[in-house]
Amino acid sequence: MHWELEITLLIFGVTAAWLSIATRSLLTSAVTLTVFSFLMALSFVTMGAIDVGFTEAVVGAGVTGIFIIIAIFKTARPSPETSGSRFRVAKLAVLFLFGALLIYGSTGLPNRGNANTPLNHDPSAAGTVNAASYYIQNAYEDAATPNMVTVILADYRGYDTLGEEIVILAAGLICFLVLRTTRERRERERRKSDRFNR
Amino acid sequence: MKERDESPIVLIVSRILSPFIMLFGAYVIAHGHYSPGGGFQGGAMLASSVLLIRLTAGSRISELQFKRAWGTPLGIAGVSLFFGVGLVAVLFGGQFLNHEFFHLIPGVTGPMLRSLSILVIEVGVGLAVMGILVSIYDDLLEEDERREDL
Repeated sequence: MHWELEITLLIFGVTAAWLSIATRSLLTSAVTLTVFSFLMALSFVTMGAIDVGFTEAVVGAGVTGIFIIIAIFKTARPSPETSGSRFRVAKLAVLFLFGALLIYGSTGLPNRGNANTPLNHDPSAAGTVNAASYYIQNAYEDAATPNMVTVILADYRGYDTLGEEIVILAAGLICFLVLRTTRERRERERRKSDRFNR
Repeated sequence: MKERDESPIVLIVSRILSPFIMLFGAYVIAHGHYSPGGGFQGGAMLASSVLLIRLTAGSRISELQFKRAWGTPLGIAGVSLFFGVGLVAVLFGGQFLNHEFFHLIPGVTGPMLRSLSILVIEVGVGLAVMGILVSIYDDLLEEDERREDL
C-alpha cells in the first residue's frame, strides 16, 4: 500500500539494528535498540495494527530502554575484545544459509489482507463460524464499543488477558523476591563488613 | 546509577513533561473503547511518567509522588480487580469473565454492561502494569538507594 514508506522504515530499522550490534559502547547499542523499536512501531502502524504499534512504542521505545540502561550500569562491563574471528567464514555461511531459508519460507506465506486464504474463509475449513469474521461483524453489537481490539482483548479473550496480567505480576514478584533484600540479611552484611574493617 | 549529575535543564524539562505524560496515560486508559490503546499502554505511560521523575530527580524527591513500597501492592490490586470482575459474573450465575452477568450497576444490561465491565478491566490492567513496572525499577536500584540513605 505505502511501499515507499515501508521500505524507508525498514532501511532505517536495519541500519539501527546493525549499529546496535556493531558499536563498541553498550549505551550506544541500548539507545539504537530503542530507535529500532520505535521504527518497528511505525512500520506496525503502516500495516494498520495501531494498537500493536502503540504498545511497541510505549514499551519497546520507552520502558525497556530505561531497564536496559539500568542493567548496564548495575553489572560489571568487561572490556570488549576482538575475539571469535576463527570460524569467520563458516559463521557467515551459516548466517546466510539461515537467512536464505527464512526468505524461502516467507515466499509461501499469503499476502497481507488476502481474502482467499483459509484463515479468512467463512465458514472455516471445519465448517464452523470463523472467529475473525465473527469478531469483525459482531463486536459492536455485542459490547457497544467501537474499538474492536479492546473488545477482543477484554471480552472475547478475557482469559488470555488475565493470564498476561498474571505473567506480568509473576515477573514483578520474582524481581521483588530476588532483588529486594530483607532487613536480617542487611544486618548480617553490615556485621560482616564491620568485622572485616576491624 | 553510578553518579548523578544534577542538571537543572533536565530536571525542569522532566518536571514539565511528566504531568502531561501521566494525563495522557489516564486518557489512553479511559478512552480505550474509542481509540487505539487501553489498559496496558496507558499503564506503561503512567509508569514511565513516574520513572522520568525517578531518573532525573532521584528517589528522595520522587518518593513524595509515588512511594517505593506502593508498587507491588498496586500491581496485586490491579490483578485482583481484573479477577474480581470475573468472580462477580460467577456470583450472579454466569461463567467466569462472562460480562453479561456483571450486574453491579442497576438498570444497565446487555452490551452497555459488557462495555462497562471492559472499562473496569482496563483500569485494573493499567494499575497492575503501572505498579509492577515501577516496582521492577525500584527493585533493580534498591541497593544504590540504600547506600544513598546511609
